[in-house]
Amino acid sequence: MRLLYCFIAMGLALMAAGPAAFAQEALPDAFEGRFRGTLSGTSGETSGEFTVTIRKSDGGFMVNWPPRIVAQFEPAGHPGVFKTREKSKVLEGNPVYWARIEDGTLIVYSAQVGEHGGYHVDNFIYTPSGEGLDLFVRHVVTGAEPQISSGKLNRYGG
Amino acid sequence: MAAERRYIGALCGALAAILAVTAQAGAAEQDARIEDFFGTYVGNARLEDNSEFRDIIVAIEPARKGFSIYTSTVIRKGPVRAVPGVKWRAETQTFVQSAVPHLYEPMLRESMFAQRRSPNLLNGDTVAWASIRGRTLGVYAMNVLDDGHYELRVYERTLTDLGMDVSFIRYRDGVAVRELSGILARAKED
Repeated sequence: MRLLYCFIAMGLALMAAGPAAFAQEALPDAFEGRFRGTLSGTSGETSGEFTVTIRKSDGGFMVNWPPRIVAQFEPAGHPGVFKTREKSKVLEGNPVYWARIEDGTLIVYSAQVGEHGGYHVDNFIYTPSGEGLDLFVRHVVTGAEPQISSGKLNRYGG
Repeated sequence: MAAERRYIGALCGALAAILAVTAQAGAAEQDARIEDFFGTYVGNARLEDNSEFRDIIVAIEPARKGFSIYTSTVIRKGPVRAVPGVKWRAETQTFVQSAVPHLYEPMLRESMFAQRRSPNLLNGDTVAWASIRGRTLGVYAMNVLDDGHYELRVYERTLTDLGMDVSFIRYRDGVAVRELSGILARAKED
């Protein structure tokens, strides 16, 4: 009987923990929409006008950012971690994207091995701020100090 | 007529100088060949915060369709090597030319049962590669961890008049969390 109570207690504990454990599997509403703004900082490649569109889709979400990058993310099997479905052929020069949500922040990653064997790895760190998003970009590239840029993105359109 | 000749002479001289400078610049921009790195190098390195010191031997040799790098490292906390707890490690990495120009990939042990497949960064595989940029031979390894953070390890060996400058940086999510740099001399066989 004591064992039965024990199983019931464990079941109740799991049910209580469930929503919290899976809370990070869904994209918070604050990230959904179209956003634009100006980034400034040491990263020339990610400074200037920046627009991003983020939409929930198929249990995950889609992120579209310049120049013409569209990444469809789905749960990766670990809480708060998302990956794209495409096979990652990073050594053949194809970019690889993945993302994670932690403490109310969405981090989108992009990694690519360039033509000359050099690397480019970007973190796009989005944090809700008022009606928009604060964006902080960390750009790690071969042969240079890591570069950073940041800016405020305002929600626009639908 | 004489003035015209002088003018043409000066023009030719200027053109020759421009061509010489351009040729030099072109040569400087050319990447070193892997053969330029072949040899044995001996020297020291230290962590950026001076908390550890390394005595390093690097030997770069030709391997089938590529090259191998042997590295012997003595890890010490102070100036003396012969102290209790001194650490040593040695490893050999072999890289072969990949299908992508300028890019070498780790050589896999050949087995009749093994099936070659491309490493998948998003499935927990380590992606490693090497390339030459200028006078620097870079060896890189990258992982995406289960929790979504990434690690990138960058080993760079740059040819110098003395021998080779070495550096290592480990990035975690774009932040350098461990940095090491050192100077090695090209060694002659005794």
